[in-house]
Amino acid sequence: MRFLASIAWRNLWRQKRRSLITAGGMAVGMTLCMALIALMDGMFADMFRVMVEQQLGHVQVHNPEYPGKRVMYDTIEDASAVVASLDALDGTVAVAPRAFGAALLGGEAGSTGVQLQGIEPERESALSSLSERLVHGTWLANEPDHGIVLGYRLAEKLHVDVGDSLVAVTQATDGSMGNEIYDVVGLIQTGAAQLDRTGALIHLADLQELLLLGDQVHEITLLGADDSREGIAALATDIQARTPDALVQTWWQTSPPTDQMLSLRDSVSFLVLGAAFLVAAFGVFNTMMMSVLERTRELGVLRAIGLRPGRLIAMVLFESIFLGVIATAMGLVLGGLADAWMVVYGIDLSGYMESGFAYNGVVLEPIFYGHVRPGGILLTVAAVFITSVVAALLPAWRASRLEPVVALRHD
Amino acid sequence: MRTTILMALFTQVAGATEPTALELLTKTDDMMRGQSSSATVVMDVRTNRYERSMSMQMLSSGSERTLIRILSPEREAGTVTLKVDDNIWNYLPKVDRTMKIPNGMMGGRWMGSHFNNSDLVNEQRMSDDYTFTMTGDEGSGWNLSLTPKPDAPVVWGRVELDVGVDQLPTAARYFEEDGTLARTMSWSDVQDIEGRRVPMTMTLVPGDAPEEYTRLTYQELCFDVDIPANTFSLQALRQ
Amino acid sequence: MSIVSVRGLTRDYVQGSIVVRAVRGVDLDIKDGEFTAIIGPSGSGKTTTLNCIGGLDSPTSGTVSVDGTDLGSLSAGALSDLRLARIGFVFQSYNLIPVLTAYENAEFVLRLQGVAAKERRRRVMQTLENVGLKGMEDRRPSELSGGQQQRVAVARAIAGRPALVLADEPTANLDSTTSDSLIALMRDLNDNHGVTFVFSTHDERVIRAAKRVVRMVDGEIESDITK
Ligand SMILES: Nc1ncnc2c1ncn2[C@@H]1O[C@H](COP(=O)(O)OP(=O)(O)O)[C@@H](O)[C@H]1O
Ligand SMILES: [Mg+2]
Repeated sequence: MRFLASIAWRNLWRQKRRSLITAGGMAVGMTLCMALIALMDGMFADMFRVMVEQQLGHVQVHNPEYPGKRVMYDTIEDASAVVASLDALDGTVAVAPRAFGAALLGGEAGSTGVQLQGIEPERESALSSLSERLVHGTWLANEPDHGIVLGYRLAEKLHVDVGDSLVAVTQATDGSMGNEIYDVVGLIQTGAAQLDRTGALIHLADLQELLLLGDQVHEITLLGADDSREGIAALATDIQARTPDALVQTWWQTSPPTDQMLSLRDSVSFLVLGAAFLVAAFGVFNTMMMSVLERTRELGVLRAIGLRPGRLIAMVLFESIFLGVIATAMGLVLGGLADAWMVVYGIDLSGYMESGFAYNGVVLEPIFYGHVRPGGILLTVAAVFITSVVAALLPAWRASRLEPVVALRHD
Repeated sequence: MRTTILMALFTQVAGATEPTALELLTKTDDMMRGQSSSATVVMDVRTNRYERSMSMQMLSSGSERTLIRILSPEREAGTVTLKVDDNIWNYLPKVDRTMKIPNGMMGGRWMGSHFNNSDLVNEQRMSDDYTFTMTGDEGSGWNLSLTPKPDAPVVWGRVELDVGVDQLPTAARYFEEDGTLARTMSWSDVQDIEGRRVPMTMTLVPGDAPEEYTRLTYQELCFDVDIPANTFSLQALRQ
Repeated sequence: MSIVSVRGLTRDYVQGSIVVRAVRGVDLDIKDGEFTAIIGPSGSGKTTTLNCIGGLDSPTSGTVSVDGTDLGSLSAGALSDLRLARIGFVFQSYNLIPVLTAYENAEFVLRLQGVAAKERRRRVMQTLENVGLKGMEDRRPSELSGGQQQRVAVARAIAGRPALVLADEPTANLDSTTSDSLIALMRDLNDNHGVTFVFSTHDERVIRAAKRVVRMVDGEIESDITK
């Protein structure tokens, strides 16, 4: 076999220009694929960050009754103790308790219904990058001081800005009318439409006071050190062991639609690869067909002196695979450069759309940065190889079926 | 119509002749809305989650204007709800602010009771919006079954009204479009106030939680009082 | 026993609506150690007969047996294996593999046969020396003259130690001096190394060198003379 491969390799260089053009074409296809996949992966990484890490966390803990109905009374009790025990768990990077309450939020110029989110500012900023999403003002103080951070769209709607104050009115757990004044300390722009339009964050202790919740929360969101599925599932199991009565869910259990959307990543990659390599396949097919046809006589000689049809197929496939190897080598260099460029500079579409790219309720920045995964590169390389083999199958098979006499008479 | 808690309760003394269904309905409509009145009311709320009792002063001028000032408990004392036409404002003494209830929040509970904000603003009359059939007689009282007219702006699928021999309503059952019982309102403890017969207690029970209720009990009630017009203004709320 | 036994060999070629009968009922036996020339005018069926003997072409009727095996009963793969093990070919137009050196061309069959590297090297070097190409091992076909290329072809044909070498007009493309020396080489291999040759030719001098001359006319054997 080795010498068949060596003949194939030499055959490849008989038509140097043609082989290089074909390999170059594949390399360009590969470069485009790598760049596109890096771009898609970057977008999906963005989505993962916005949709999973900023909203869902890796694991969520609830009262089993809470999800779906979100009734104020279905709480996790003794929240401080639960949080402390989860803090002590190996593999948790951040533990953030949250409480929620529907409230009427109003200023001088109007009022609107919102979902107040009670958070512990320090813990929340360890978990999500919400605090980095401030477009104006500051993050909530670590001690409760009746500060409130609003989604920037909500602030626009209420005609308030940092420094203004707002009244929140709500029904507390005892049925009484809770009301309090909060000072707007910051505005956030998160990319998540829901948060930007209705997000109103106050200190957890402030919300517990407003709702008379005591030491109860509605949700504990955690981030693990390991963001792989296996890592997150293992973390969820550990958490469940510590909170036997609670509902512990991984992010994909909490939000199957998010899961479905993020799993589109692979379909999109395959689509990109499929399109690029369909074109490349025609190039390879054409090159190999010509290579076989113009050597008909020579192949006839090989068959005459005793080369089995199967080994002739192998020889032709070797040639095509070598073409793929050359293409891969060139493609990895070009694609690597393209990837590096995508990672460092990204693609800036802000000239075309100033407010970003909305997809399924998530607003992404108009500058897309690439995210390079070994899996994405591996996929591309695999596609090159599969293409070189598959596209050469027909030429190879045809070559093997030639009658030696017919081939020998061929000029 | 939806029930209303604006209870300037009006009843003409029953005539001697056998009443028609329309007459009974009109009486009920009239009883549940006012001309000008002043009242002190205790509201007891019992839910699976909490029990509370509030006392409040209610002033109304016709069915368009109402002002309710909370007297106790401490935490909410001084809170005022002002209703003018379709609008509701709450004055919050703790933060010294007045907030208008936005349209989207009209379905919200009022003061933790089983009444919602839109119950406060509703001025419709059952006799306008429903077609009805009646059974019963002077000896046993009457039962009216009310079905909304095709384009009537009402939320109920059907209403059953019980009227006593004194021609005053004793209970009303409100049903959803799909036939489930949404709420039951009952009236009791009828007293003579300034020559009118008025039920002093009104109880609302939600259909999905029969053990819960909101009960309004009149402690004092005067009709045709002189209320200065500027009482029903935003400026007057803080006082 | 004969290495090759041909019985009633007939080969028809269909060209559109015309059927050309290239070979008609040929019977022929080739024994070990023969040095046989098939001669006859152009179009008399020499090439067709050789191709059928070598299993490159298949008879319309009749049988060809090599070592007692009927070629018609073999699959394409088995036929390849039989050619590889038992038959060497020399073609009129050399037909070397252009990307391989003289050495590699001669070595090719040994590689396919799976001969060990050391033995391979010894045999290829020996064979190239026998055909007079010592020192030209690393040349590609394009760097060799026609006569030298045909010597490489002969080396390739005999390196695998076949029972039989079939050569179709091996000297047709060579000048007379070169063809003399090639035929001398073949004869030498036959005399001193026991290689059996069957070749077709027009060339009078080549015919003279043959030990047996089979003359074909119009697809039939006209005469078969062993000197
Ligand atoms: N593939 C073919 N198709 C049609 N006719 C052929 C084919 N091969 C050979 N022939 C015909 O068969 C006859 C014998 O040819 P061939 O065996 O090549 O003769 P020779 O080698 O003696 O010149 C010739 O008439 C030739 O034209
Ligand atoms: Mg010929």
